Amino acid sequence: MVLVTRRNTGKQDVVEYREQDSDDDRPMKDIVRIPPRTAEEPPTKKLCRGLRILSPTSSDEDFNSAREDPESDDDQEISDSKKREPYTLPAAASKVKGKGKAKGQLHTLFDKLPTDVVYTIFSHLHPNDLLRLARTNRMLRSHLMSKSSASVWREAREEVEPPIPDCPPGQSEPQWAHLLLSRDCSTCGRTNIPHVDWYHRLRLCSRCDRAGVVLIIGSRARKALPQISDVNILLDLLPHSNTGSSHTGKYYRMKDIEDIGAEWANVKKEGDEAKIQEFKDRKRIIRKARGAGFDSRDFRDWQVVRSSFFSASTALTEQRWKTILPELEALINRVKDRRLRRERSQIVDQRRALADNLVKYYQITPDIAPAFRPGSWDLVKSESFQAIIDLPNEVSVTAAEFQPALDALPDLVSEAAKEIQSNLLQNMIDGGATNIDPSITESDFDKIHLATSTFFCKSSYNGLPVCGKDDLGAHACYGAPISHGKYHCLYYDRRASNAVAALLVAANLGQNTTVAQMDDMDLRFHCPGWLKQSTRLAMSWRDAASHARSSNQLHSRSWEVFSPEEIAAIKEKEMANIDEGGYGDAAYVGLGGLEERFHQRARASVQSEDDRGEPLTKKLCSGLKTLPLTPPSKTSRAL
Amino acid sequence: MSAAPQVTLESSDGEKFKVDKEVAERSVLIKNMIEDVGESDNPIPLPNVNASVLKKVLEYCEHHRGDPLPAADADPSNDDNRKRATEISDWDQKFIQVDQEMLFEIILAANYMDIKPLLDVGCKTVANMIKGKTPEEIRKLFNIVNDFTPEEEAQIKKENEWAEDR
Repeated sequence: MVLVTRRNTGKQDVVEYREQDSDDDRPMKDIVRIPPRTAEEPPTKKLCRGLRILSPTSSDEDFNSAREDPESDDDQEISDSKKREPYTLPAAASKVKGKGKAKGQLHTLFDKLPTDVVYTIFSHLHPNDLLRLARTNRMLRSHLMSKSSASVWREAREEVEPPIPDCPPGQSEPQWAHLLLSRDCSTCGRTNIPHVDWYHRLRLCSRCDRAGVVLIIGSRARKALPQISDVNILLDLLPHSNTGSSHTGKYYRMKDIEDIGAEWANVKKEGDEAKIQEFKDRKRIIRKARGAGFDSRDFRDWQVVRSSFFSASTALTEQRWKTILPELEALINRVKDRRLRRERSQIVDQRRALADNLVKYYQITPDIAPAFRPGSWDLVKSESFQAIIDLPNEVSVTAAEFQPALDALPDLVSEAAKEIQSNLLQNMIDGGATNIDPSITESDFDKIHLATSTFFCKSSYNGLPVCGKDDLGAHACYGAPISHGKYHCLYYDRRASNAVAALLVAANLGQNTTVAQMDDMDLRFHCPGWLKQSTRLAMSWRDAASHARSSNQLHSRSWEVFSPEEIAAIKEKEMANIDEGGYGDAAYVGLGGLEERFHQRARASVQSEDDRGEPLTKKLCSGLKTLPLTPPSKTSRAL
Repeated sequence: MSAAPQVTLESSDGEKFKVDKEVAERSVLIKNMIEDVGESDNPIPLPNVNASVLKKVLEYCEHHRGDPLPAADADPSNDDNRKRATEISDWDQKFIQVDQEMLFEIILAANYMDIKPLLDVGCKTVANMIKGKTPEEIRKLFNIVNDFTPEEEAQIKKENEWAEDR
C-alpha cells in the first residue's frame, strides 16, 4: 500500500511516498521524499503503477486530485470530495469486466465458477477481509459493492463471534463494516483511530477532529463559518453528538450547519417575525424527532410544515412534544409505509425480471415441450417461482434461489402445455366445434392440429389463421396483455372451420387432414362467393379460411380446387409478383414468429378468357395481375 | 472376499480410472448417472475434468468413502454447521496443499461433479488464503492487476456506499 501525503511546509510542498506493508497498524518504512514534478527520467515501474503523479506528463491538477491532505485548511475542497463527485467507479468497473484484461487466477475463478460458489468463498471471510477484497481491483469491487451482495456481508458479519450488530437503516453493509472494523479515519484514512462518533457514524482522528473537517465543535462554528450569520441560534436547532476524539462538547455536522445557514438567510431576509419563529419551531421538531430515533428518510421539512399539528409559534415544551408526538408518529409511519411499499415493489419487480430472464434462457433448451410453450411470464407467475419472489426483502434472491424452480421447469412447462391445449380445445367446443368430446382428454390434443381447427389471433394484423404446431408453438402475441397468458389472444372461428371443411371436400381430402398436410399440398381454391363471371380468385387454404371468417357470405360449400396445372401457373405468377416487389413481404418479417412465411404467398386473380382455344397456362398467366399489399379479404373486395 | 462393484471413469484427456462404485458415488453427478443409466461396463465420461485433477478428486473420494453423505443442501440446519466454517480436518488440509492452479481445478471439478464436502474444503481453503491479507497481498497472491487509478484507490478507502446508490 502506498500512502501519499502532502505537507504544507510554508515554502514548498513536500510529498511523502511511503511504502507500507499493509493498511493496518504496522510501522511505516522507506519514506522517500521528493519535491513534486522533479522526475524527468521515467520512474521505476512499481512506483509508476502505484503513483501516477510521478510520471513527467502529469500535472499539478493530477497531483491535487490524488492527494489526501488532512491538514489542509481548505475545508471546502475536502467537503467537496466527500460529495464524491469525481468518483465514477461503477461505470468504469463494469467496463473493465468485459475487457478481459487483468486476468489473475481469481479472475478466471470468477469467470468459470458459478456465482454461488464464489459467494460461498466470500461468506467464509471476515467482513474486514471483504473490505480489503473490495479494494483489490474493479471487478471484485463491483461484485462486492453491489447491493445484491448484501447477504454476503450479512453472513460474514453474523459469523463473527460475538456477532456484529445489524446494519442500521440508511447505511450500507460495507459502510457499517468499515465504521466498526477498519479503525481508519473516515476523512483522511489515518489508521488505528479508536474514537467513533456513533451519532454521526463517523470515525475521526484527532487531527481531523481539530481541523473541523466534517464535524465541528459548536464553540468553533462561528469562526469556521464566518459567512453564516447567527450561527449560535442555528446550532440550537441542529442535532449534535456530545464528544469528539480530542474534546468533549457538542459536535455538529458541518454540512448541516451550512444547509440550515442558507435556509436561515432566506427566512431572515423576509424579516417576518412569525415566519422566523415557525422556522425555528419546525427545526426543533425535526431535531427532536431524529433524536427520538425516527428515520430521517421518512422525515422531511415539508412533511412537518404540511401536517396539521404544526401551527403554533410557542416554544417546543415537553408538554407540547407529547401532544404532537402521536400525530407526528402517524405521519411518519404513513410516509414510511409508502417508502416500504415502494422498496418492496422494486425488489419484487427485480426478482420477477430475473426469473423471467432465467426462464427465457432455460426455454431455449429445445427438449422442453416443443410446442405450446407457455410464455416465460406465465411460468414466472406459477407457484414455485412466486414463492421465491414473495420472500421477504432481506433475503437475497439470486439465480441460485430460483434453481429448484428451474429444475422443475420441464414438468411445469409440460403441465402448462397440457393446460394450454385443453384451453384451446375448450375454446373450440365453445366456438361450436362438433368433433371434440366435451370431456377433454389428452387423446384429443391432436385435433388441435387438424386443418379444420382454425384459430385466429385477436390482435393479428393480417387476419391469417394461426394453426398447426409451428404457428401455435411460435405464436408470440404483442397485443394481448401479458398477464393474460401467451395464448389468451387465440380464438376458434366456426365459419372459417366450416370453410376449410368445404375445401377438404372440394379437394377430395378426408376431414382428418392436418394443417401440415394442407401446407405441404399447398393447393389453390376458387371462392364460391365470387360473383364476377370474368375473373376467378385463387386462394391458398389459409387465405380461404381467413376470407371465410371475415366475409358475411356463406363459404361452407361449393369451393372449387384448381387443377395441378393451373396451380403451377398461379404459383409461378405469385413468385413473379414477389420478385417484382409487388408484395412487400419484408414489411411483415419478424412480427409474428412463423407467420411471415405465409405472406410470401402472393394472391392473384385469374381472368378467364373468351378464347378457350389457347393453352391453359397461357390463358391463366395473361390474366394475372399484381395485387396491392392488403389483407386478402380487402383484396377480393378491391377487385 | 467378493470384489466390490466397480465403475470406470474417463477423464477429458481420455485416461480411464477403474474405481469402486462406492468411491465414485461420492460424486452426486456420477451417482445420478449410474442410477439413470444403470450399471454398465462403458466408461463414464467426465469431459470437464482432466486426468491429474480426476486422480486428485478420486484420492479424496477414496479417503472419504465411508463418510455419511451430507444432507440435502436445502437443509437450513446446515447453517449452524457453517459457523465453524474455516475448520478443515488434518487430512483434508494436507490433501488440499496443492498449487493454486490445481486448487481452482479441484474446486471446478468438485462443483461439476457435485461433491459438496470437497467443494467446501476448496472454498474454505481459498477463503483462508484471503483472510487477514491486505489488498496488495491479495493481489500478489492471486496475480490480480490493480486497475484502480491512484485517485480511485485513495477514494475507495473511504467510500463504502452501495454501487447502485450512486
